[in-house]
Amino acid sequence: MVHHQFAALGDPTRLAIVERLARGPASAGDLASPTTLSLPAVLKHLRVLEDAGLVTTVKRGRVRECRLCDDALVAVAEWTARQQALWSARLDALGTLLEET
Amino acid sequence: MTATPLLSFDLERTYPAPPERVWTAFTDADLLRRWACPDPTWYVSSCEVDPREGGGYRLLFGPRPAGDAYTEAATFAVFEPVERLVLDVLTTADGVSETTRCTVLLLPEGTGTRLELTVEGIEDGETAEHLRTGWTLCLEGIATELGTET
Repeated sequence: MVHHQFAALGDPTRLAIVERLARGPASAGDLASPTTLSLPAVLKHLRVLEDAGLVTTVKRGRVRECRLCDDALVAVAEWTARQQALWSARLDALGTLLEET
Repeated sequence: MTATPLLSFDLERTYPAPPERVWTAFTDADLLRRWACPDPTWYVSSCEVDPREGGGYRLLFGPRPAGDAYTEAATFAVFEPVERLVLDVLTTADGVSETTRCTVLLLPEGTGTRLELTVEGIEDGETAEHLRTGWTLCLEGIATELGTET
């Protein structure tokens, strides 16, 4: 899953959408209006974010409301924490080795 | 892919050893195995290094006594002694497969070295293929060498 999320977030437009939704829900139209993107282009990006489990969208009347999933960035945060712990411990161990030899 | 704070992080250390020694710690199997698995309840059961561009390292490590639950195979995508090393790292274990790109910069600082490390999460497909290619070549190289010795 985390690779799907990386792929989804690796695009600047989709990252901008996630950053916007982190401040609260918005309609697809709201997401498109401050940009030069067309509504269909935004919907396409939203579809990728939905498939990656980052965003949910609900149709309310004529408006599609988009929100960030509650645990959207948990996998990304876990990956970062795990990798950071690993490399931090390694670099410390490397320091100890360089002092010893 | 675009690197963003969500997908990457940086670490920095300053060591009281010249860049040559820090470089060797990444490219010499006997040294690498001594710091690659800092958890005292785990250990490195196997460590091979092919120190050249397109080469890489292969580590087996995990909980004692076997020490082989994890395989970490890295390809040296960039190999510029003793300044810059870029590693595409594929870590595999039961049901886990993870790819990262690590960029190591060694900067002389007085008589020591400042090490700057950037780790990025990357997508599986292309890199995994790249890693497989690198390691096939590396293992073929080892096989050739073993063949000529006997």
